[in-house]
Amino acid sequence: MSTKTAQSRIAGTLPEFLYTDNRVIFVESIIAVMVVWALVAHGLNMTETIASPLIITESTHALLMSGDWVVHFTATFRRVMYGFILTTIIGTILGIVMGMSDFWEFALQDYITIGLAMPSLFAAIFAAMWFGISDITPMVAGTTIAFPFLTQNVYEGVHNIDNRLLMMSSSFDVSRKRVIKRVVFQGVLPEWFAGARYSFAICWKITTLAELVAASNGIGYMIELHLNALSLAGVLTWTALFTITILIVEYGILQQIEKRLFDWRQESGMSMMGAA
Amino acid sequence: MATSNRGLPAISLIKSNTWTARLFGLLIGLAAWFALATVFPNDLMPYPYETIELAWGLVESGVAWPNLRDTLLRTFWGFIGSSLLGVALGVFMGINNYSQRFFTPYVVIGLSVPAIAWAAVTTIVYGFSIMAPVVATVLTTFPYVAINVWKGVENLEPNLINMSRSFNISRRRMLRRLIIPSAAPFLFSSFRFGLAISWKIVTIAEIFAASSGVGYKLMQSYQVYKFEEAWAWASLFIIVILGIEYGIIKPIERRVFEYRHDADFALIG
Amino acid sequence: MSSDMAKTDNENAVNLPGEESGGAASIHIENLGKTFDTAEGTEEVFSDINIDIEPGTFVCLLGKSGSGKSTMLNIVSEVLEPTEGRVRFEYPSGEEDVTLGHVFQDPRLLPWNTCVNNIEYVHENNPNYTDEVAKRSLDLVGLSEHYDKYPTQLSGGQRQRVGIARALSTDPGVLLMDEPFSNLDEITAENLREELLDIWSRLNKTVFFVTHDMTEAIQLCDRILMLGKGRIYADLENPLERPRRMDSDEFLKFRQKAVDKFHSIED
Repeated sequence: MSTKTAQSRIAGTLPEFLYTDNRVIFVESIIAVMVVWALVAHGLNMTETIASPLIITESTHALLMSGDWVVHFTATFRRVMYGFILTTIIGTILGIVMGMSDFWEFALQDYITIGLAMPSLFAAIFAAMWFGISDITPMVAGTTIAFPFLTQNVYEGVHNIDNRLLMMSSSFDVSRKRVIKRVVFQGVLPEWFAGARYSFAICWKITTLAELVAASNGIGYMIELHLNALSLAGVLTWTALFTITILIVEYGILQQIEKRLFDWRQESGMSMMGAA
Repeated sequence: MATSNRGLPAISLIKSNTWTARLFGLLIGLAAWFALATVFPNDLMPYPYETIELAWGLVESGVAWPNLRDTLLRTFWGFIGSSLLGVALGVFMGINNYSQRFFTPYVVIGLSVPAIAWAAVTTIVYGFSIMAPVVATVLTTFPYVAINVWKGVENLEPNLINMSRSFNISRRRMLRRLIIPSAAPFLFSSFRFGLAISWKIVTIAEIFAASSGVGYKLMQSYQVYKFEEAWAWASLFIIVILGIEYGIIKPIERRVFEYRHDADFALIG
Repeated sequence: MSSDMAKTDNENAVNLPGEESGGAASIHIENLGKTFDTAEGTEEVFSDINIDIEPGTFVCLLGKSGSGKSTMLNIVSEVLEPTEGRVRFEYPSGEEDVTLGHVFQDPRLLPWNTCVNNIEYVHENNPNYTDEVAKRSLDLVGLSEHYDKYPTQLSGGQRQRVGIARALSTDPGVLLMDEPFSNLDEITAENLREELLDIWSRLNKTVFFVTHDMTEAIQLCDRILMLGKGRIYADLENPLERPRRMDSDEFLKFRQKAVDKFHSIED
């Protein structure tokens, strides 16, 4: 493609590692953000309001050191976990039911559609109306918004189970229990995992939203606090901490689990289902 | 035994009419609403007809339209902005290895930052202008668009492109007859998600970055404890959303996926 | 009806499958007929089919697409119920509870299990099963280096071998094969055919092999059945001595005769 020749023309003039080494590229990426950030701040003449990267790094560091963040992080995390557990239970069960039964799929499909489209704010506010300032509010809000995603992933996974494997099992007289465990469950696992991961991310975000609406502690609560004080630095600091945490969970923990769980999937070109 | 063409052997499927099932589902929903409304105090859970009455009242009094319009307008701009940014990013990431590795951190971080954070930031920066909710939406939504477009670009088969070249097919024709149809399902996914996420973020942003709009009104009703009103606003907006979903999105979805014989209608919800 | 391993004492898990076992069973297709109910009415695929197959013979079923050969195989495999008649299996000892081994056109392996575990999967009711059984079976098909590989790490031919190993591992009295080599490239298919013949001669199984490839049929089998227009219209005995050479005169002559017979159903 022509981009390749363009790339190689430019590339020819630069030392190679600048555009091939992953870590270097990552750094370039970050530098670009910093530069743009600084430019925007200056450009909009808002060097005070759009706090510079340096200020944020400092205040983030300070916050970490002070230990004030612990209370709020644990609160938020606790609520996320409650919501996520509930989401997993409801989403998985519903997904399997809808996957195995035409009737239930058609009956509940519209609710899934609505659930997917529902503005999260609605869930947060209505949960707040019913449950006030408590751990239940973020949990219910998170579950309501997140479970349709998991449900959909799971029932698609069930639909996608290779029928030929079921027939093969049948011809070898494998018991239903074994088929469910070794074929259905395993077959659905990748889709379930993708859905669970996505739902987890959603739970995080809805939880903080619900905290903003009705809570007395937590990350969302702190962000609102700083917002009301018009402290951009405060908002950005808490956002930074929050984002870093999520990144650690996503790429540190979840990706590792994914690798272990699915090491049978290779990038070998032809996958089992794709070939003849 | 194993001759059923779907489902597990020996698990009998209840084959039924789609519409009977859907009706059944609808009835359960209504029944549940009624049940909850009876159990809970009136303002927490109004009956369906009460909500409809109130909603109609809002429409009649002329309050509904300006707010709906504002929210939809912001959604529209947010959607446009995130689509432009997302498509650009996605295309680059798909074509060029360097771009992919350069932009991935942006996408990753973009996916992790909660909407309220962006909304808070843009509120402080832009105040009450329309830029606040729109920019917050763009920043939250673009990663989803980018990822889907990226997958679409990656999905292009180099073999088909080489074949086209060997027949000396013009760029323009390739774009129209090969590239766009090949990427169409992914493009559709991106826009569809982009739109849905846009209205979600706009409503969130409106709770502090605006003085009008559905999100704003909803929050207002909540804060003055007029919960039935909150229900009315929510219902109005949901009706609009469903109108868009079933009236616009689903028909297009059917067209886009027609040629795939394993029509994955469920894929995009 | 064939059933799980525990009931037959032909099962001997530690030895090579087929050794010291009941060996091969005979197949008796009696008055078999199948009719489908379609939207346009009833469609008779075949009727009044009667075939007896001696234990240890290698039989090929040929037919054009749509002739019903897959349907017949499905009925013999007990995956489909016949509309009339039945299929009976019998060991020389008189035992009618015969284990069937299936090899499909596509390998049908569980992608998330290793080769060994893919074989283990079908040994649910086998109290004597150990991983040795799976490994022996894999040795038989030449995959000794691949016990713990996943299907995605194997080539098409290798995957199909695992499928064969799996079928053999149950020590079946009859091996049912549905165009097992038609999805492979010719060289791989050639190799597998030779290996199949080798295994067959060593283990003495009855093989019921469906194919659309005349050359393959002649190369492999003792007896060719041709299915068309709802009946078996040809039942040829393969006179060629093994080992068979595809370029020999006898081969070509017989092949011509068989092909003519095959096309004779058209008129």
